[in-house]
This record gives sequence, C-alpha cells and structure tokens, in this order.
Amino acid sequence: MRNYLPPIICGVCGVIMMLHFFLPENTMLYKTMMEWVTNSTIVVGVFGLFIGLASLVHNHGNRIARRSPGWGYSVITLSFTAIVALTGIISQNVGPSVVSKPLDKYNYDNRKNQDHTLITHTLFGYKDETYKTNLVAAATADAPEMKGEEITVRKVPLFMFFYNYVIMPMGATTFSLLAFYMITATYRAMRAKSWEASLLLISSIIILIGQVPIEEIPLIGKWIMGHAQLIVYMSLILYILYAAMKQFFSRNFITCGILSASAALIGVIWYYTPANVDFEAMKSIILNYPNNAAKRGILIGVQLGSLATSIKILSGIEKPYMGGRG
Amino acid sequence: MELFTIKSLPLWLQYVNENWFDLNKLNALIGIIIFGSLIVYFIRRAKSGAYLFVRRIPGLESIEEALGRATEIGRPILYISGIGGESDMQTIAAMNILGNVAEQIAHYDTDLKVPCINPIVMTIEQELVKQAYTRAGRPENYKEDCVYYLSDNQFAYASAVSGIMVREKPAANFLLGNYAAESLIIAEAGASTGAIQIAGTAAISQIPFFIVACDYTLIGEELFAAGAYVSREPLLLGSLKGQDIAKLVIILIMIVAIILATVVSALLLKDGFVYGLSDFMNKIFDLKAFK
Amino acid sequence: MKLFLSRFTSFWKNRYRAIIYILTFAFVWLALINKKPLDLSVSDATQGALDLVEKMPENHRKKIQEQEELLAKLQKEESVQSSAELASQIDEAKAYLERLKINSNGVFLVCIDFDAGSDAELGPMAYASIRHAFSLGIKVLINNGYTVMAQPLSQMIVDSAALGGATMPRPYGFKQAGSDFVFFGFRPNAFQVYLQMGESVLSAYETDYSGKPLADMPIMKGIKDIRDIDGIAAYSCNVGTPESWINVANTKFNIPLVVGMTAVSVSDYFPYLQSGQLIGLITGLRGAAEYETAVGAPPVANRRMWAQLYTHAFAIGLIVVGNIEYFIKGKRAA
Repeated sequence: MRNYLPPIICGVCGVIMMLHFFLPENTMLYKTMMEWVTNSTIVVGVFGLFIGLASLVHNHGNRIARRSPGWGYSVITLSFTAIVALTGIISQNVGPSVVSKPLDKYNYDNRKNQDHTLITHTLFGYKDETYKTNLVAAATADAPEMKGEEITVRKVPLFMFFYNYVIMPMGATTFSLLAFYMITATYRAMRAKSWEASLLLISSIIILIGQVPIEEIPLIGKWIMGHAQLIVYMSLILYILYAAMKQFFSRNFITCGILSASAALIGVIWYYTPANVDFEAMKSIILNYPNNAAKRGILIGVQLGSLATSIKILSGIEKPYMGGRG
Repeated sequence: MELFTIKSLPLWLQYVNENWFDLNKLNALIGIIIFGSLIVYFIRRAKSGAYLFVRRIPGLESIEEALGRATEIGRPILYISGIGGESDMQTIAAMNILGNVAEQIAHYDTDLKVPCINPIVMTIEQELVKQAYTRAGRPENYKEDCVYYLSDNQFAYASAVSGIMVREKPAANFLLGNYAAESLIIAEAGASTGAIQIAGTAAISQIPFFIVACDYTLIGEELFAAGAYVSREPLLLGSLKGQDIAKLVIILIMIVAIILATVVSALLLKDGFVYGLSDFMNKIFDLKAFK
Repeated sequence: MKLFLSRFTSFWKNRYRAIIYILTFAFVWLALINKKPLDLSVSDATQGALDLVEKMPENHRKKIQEQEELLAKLQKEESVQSSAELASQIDEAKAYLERLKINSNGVFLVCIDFDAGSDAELGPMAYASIRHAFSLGIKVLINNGYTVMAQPLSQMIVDSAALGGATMPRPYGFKQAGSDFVFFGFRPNAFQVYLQMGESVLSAYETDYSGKPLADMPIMKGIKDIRDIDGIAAYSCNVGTPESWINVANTKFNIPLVVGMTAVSVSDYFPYLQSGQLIGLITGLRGAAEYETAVGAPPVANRRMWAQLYTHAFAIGLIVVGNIEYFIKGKRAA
C-alpha cells in the first residue's frame, strides 16, 4: 500500500488539475475546483511552516546542546525567532508609534523638493492622540493644503519595527553584495580565451557602456565617448594585425593575408561609417535580437523538459516524493 | 482570416465549449497527446532494449570526479536544490539528481549537507537521501541532520549558505534548481573557497552567473535530462529521447511557418491557400485562436 | 624589477578580491559628490510604460464614448424588436457605462512584488508611476502578488505618494485612501486571485490592507472586475511573477500591461515586449531614472545612477586590465 498509494494520489490529482485547465472559466465546476486548490495550497503551506520551524528548532537546538563550533549563532537565531514570532502574535497595537515627518535628504540644488516618508518610529512610542501637522509643514512645498491639518498617530506593531529597521536593511545589504561579486566575476571571466569568450566580452562591454551615460563622467567621459569610434576601430584593427603578424611568423601566409585583408576592410568600413558610435542603439539591437532568439530557444527546451518531467511524475515513472526511483 | 469562429460550429459543440471543454485550448490538448505519445513510444523502445544515444554532458560526467575529490580531501559535499517550491519543475529535477548523487555519496562515505529553503522540499529530500543510503546498502551512515531547513527568505538563505561554504569549506558544491538573484552570491562564495562547483538551472537570467562562477554548468533542459543521464535507466532515457523528438517537431513547424510568413509578406498575399496555411501555422500555438 | 613584478603578481593573486571590493566601494561613494541629475534619454521600452499612464485618461474617455455609442445602438435595436436577451445586454451596458463614469480618468493597478533587497531599483519606479497616475487624476489600486514581505513597503510607497506632489509638473494634492487609491495587500495563490479578479474584484479582495471593507469605498463603486481596470503595472524582482499577469491580463482580458524588473532579470522579458504582450518594460535602475526624469518625480533613481555609472566604468576598466594581464601571461607561457 505504501508503494502504490502515493503514485495513485499523485496521478489522480495531476489528472484533475489537467482537466481543470481545459474547463471553461465560467462554469461552476471550474470555480469550485479553483477554490479547492487555493484553500488546499494555503493549508499545506501552513503545515509546511510548522515543519520548517520544527526543523530549525531541532537543528539549532542540537548544536547548542552539543556545543558544536558556532553554537552562539544558533542561540541568536533561536532567540530572535522567538522574539519576532511573539511580537507578531501579541496584540496588533503594541509597539512604537508612527508620526509623519519630513526627510530632507533629497533636497537637490536648494529646491524645496523635499520628499518625505510617512513612517518614522520611536521605540517607546507616542501617546495615541492627534498631532497638528506642523511637523509636516516643512513639506508644504509638496502638500500645501496639509499645513495645520490634524493627523492621527498610528500605532504599529513592534513586529513592523523589526521589519523596517532589521529585515529591510539586511535584505538590502545582502542584495548589494551582488554588485561586488559581479565585479569580481566580471574581472575573472571576461577574458578573450576563445572566439566565443571574445563574443561574450565584446557584447558585455557594449551593454555596459550602453546602459550608462559614460559622457557624464567628469574630466574623461566626454573625451572617451568623443573618441569611442577611434578606440573601437583602432583596437579591432590592431588586434587583427597582431594576429596576422603571428601567422606571418608562423609561415601561415594565406591566413596572414586573409587577416590583413580583413583589417583593411574594417578600415574602409570605418572611413564610411558615421561619426558617432551609438552604444544605446547597439545595446538595444543585442537585447532585442540575439538575446531574444537565445532566450526563446532555451525557453522552448525548458518547457518541453518540464512537460516530459510532468508526464513522468504523473505516470509514476519518477517518484521524487517517494525517495527517487520507483 | 478566421478559419472558423465558435458561432459557426454546430450547437452541440457550442454547448460543449460553454460547459465542458474550452475549445480555445484544443491545440494544447492535441499537443499534449502528440508529445505524450512520442514519449511513451520511446520509453517502449528503450524497454525493448534499443540503444538510445545521448550526447555527452560535461557537467554530469564530472559528478564522480567531484565526489572523489571531496572524499580524498575529507571535506563535505554541499547540495543546494535552489529556491523553488515543491511544485517547481526545476526543484523536482534537482531532487532527481540528488537521489543519484546521494547514492554515490553513500558508497564513498562522505559527508553530505543539503540546506533547504522550503520546509516541504526539505521533508521530500530527507526521504530521498534516506532511501538513497538504503539502496546503497549503507543505511547506518545516513545522518538525520544532513538535510535541514534554513530560512524561506531568499537573501537570508543566501547569507546562510555563503556562511556554510566559508566556515565548513565543502570540497564540492552542487547548485541545481531554480535560482534568482542570490545565485551569484552563492556561486561566488563557493568559488572563493576553491570548491569544485557544478551548477544547473533553467532560470535563463541566472545561467551567465553560473557560467562565470562555476566549473560546470547545465543549461536549461540539461537539468531535466540529468536524471536520465546519470541513472541511465531505460524508462528515463526513453522519455529524454521523446522530448528531443518533440523539440525537433516544433523546430520543423517553426521553419515551415517562417518560410510561409516570409513568402506571404514578400508577395503581399492577402488570400489564397498559402496565406491560409500561413495563418493556420501562426495560430497553432495560439490559445485564443477561436473567437 | 623582476622581483617587484613577481611580488606584485603574488600579492594581486592572493588579494585581488579584497582590492576589487575596496575599489568598488570607493567608486560607489565617489558617486555621492555628484548631485546634479543625469540627463537620460527615454528608451522605447520605458516610453511604452510612460504612454500607458499618460494616455490612460484619453483612452478611458474613448471607452466611455464607445460604450455610449453601443448603448445607443442597443436601445435603437430594442425599439425595433425587444427581447429578454437584448434587455439584459442593455442593463449590462448601462451598468458598465455608469462604472466607467465613476472613475472618469481611468483605473491603474500597480502590483508591487519586491522586497527590501530590490527596493533600491524598483521602489523609485513604483513611486514615480504612482505619482504620475495621481498627477493625472487616475485612480490607483495597489496589490502584492507573490511577496508577502512587500506589504509594508507598498504601504510606505503609496502613503508617500498620496501625501501630495506640489513639485510635479502637474501638481496634485492630498490623495485619500478609499476614494483615490486602495491598497489591497497580499493574498496567497496570486494566479488564482488574478483569475478571480476577472470575475469580481470584491470576491478576490474583501478588505483593504488595513481591514476596511472594500464594498464601502467610493473607488470600488466603479470597479466590478478586471475589465474595469485600464492598465496594469507589475514591478517584480522575481522572474516568473509577472508571467501570471501576462497570462491573465494580456492573454485572457487584453488589458495593457507594463512590467518593471531589476536589470539582472529584465532581459527575460524582452521577448514579451517584442511580441506585443507587454507594451512597456522598465529596465532596472536606468529605466526608473528615465521614468522619473520624464514625469518630473523626485530624482531618487537618477541620483543612484551616478553609482551605477562609476561602477560600470570601473568594471570596463577591470575587463581591459584583465585581458592585458591574460595576453601578457599567454605571451610569457608561449
């Protein structure tokens, strides 16, 4: 029973969901099934939450009990899990208060363009009463009719304090790590080791330049963009001539001749091309044509792979939920 | 030009369309039947003993090398099945590979660590790894703590995994499944420790990051083929072959449709057989073909 | 000289990561000295997003006109030959026309599906598009699709935008929740929720984020189902979440859709833009800066573009250095 019941459940549920896809959307059956699927997913998801919590507590609890290396981190993890969970479960209105307050960090060029956010917390909170918006009066450049108006102080849960002052900055910090990792990955990987790597290199440089206005860099930006065509064509011609020279010294005269002719052709093209190299247009061409073609190809393959995997699971050939092969 | 509209159909078909079966999705049903039949046909061929060629996938060939290296150095192996949920196809494909990899690891008696982002995926993978150790004849080597839950927040998970990589310095990292922005964080953290990294995802935007940071990368559907490739089971190889032939069919349809569309626009056709055929080919994959 | 070179090479090989991290950090901070907003031209993809909101009042008025003409035609037909079916069609047309007239400048749905990590890129574009809509008198609906952590962030964005925009080219005053905008909050199973919205928005969302019943709100009197929404913008950091909107809004209901994504993942959506399933695509920080510049919103993303500019230039420099190093090593090895 243990061996055949899960595949039967899987197959039957899969077939039901497939039939659901083909039902017309206005029918009662479609709506009922959709409601059933939605509710089931929520219920299973909540159970999953408890399983995850149990695993977390068990794992870190064992580390603390055994005093494994780094057990201090486990103490911090478990204590903050408990604190944040408790603050979320306890009454909604326990916690710091929120008051409208202007922030002037976006004051460019002495304009009165003061952007402001509605939420500022104080840990011990304000009393639950109304406040005149003289605090907001500094932002009257943006909302003149609000001057002198009364606003109510909103009490928010302590949970929100953790979200705004712990989770949000940490999430932003971890995401910012990407920038540093991308730059080191770029330095390591963008080498012209082969012709495919050279293609990757050239297209990535075009996209990097096209994405930002390089001419705005102080001192050198305008010079670089003004001489971009010179830099690009000269680099290409010199590189091809270097390769031709290597072939010449290796006595491959035909290859040398072909490469030299290519360099000459590029010189002719340079002579006839217009003055500006439009990196933004080149970036758009790369994104709209080769990028789209490659993505569509991979997408078709991936979707077919998903289709085949689904058929294998529904028919019981693969049973990942039962420990792999059946 | 419309081949036909719903109103031109007989009344009983219109009734069926309104109450039982959305005729706009008929092409999807035909597609599933055709492709399913192809897969079933090749599975039968494989079962009957026919040799089915599958090209070499370097990333999968190097799994054994990675496991051997980890055993020699005496450091653990880290297996991450992405951030997708239990219903995500990429996660399922990653779990298939985990089963095979865990069986090999059981033979080598190396430490395996599988940190999870989803609690339900964690429970499935616990069972998977346990079964794999049992199949390898080493159930006593299975450690309950090897598959564990970290956090369901994407960046909290990425930070935790990076921390595991830097502290425990696994010798081999398997990064297979669905990834989003945290892919490069994890891959670079692994690369900085000098581990051999095998990655695979169908998330197209993350593939370049894995290519630059990892030693081997499975691109797109190579991830779905991996289960069949590693186990070499006839059933799985047959389905892989079927899926490839299905892709060939789609490519042929696309080539014919492109040629027809080019002819129609070059000759400015507005009617006739060629125009009708081109219009039909354009609507084959359209889910709103009927009005 | 050789000794110096070999020592430098060994030092670089062991510490290049740390050096690159420090230099990247320095370049990002260098961006702070620049205060002037960058002059950015608007790309075609962002222009589509701008046009969606800019032309929404005009398109909504066209819809009203078309509906009035349809109603007149149906009433004329009824005067010739009345039937139950015709009568129900007329009632439906009348009800729809009334709803269209309630939100007379159009209804714009903004789906905020990013959390704190992507707020730097996507926050400014969501903020700018909501301000753009407010400045045109368009009613705004905000919801969260797949990211439950986006709820407090969305509340902050819409509250900030609602406080007023006196410095916008088209200034607007204080916007009231319930009559000018509604924040629905998060419901699980986003795809099913969107499909339910096709039937009735009130069955998908019963209350707003703060728990007030939606049925009592003036704005909801003009919104029965998703067809009453004139345009949708989905701002997401996860690839795959706007696809639910493409399936529902575009494939099923033909509602114009715009997507804003982080630059890392946005290239996945260019095929949809090319095929016409999306009418606009806001590409990361650059797209957000272009949008802000075009609508006159406070230049938040524009300011951040300086950091991107310097780091891109640094990355290009590193690529050149890396390739020179590679060629020198290759020459030495040969």
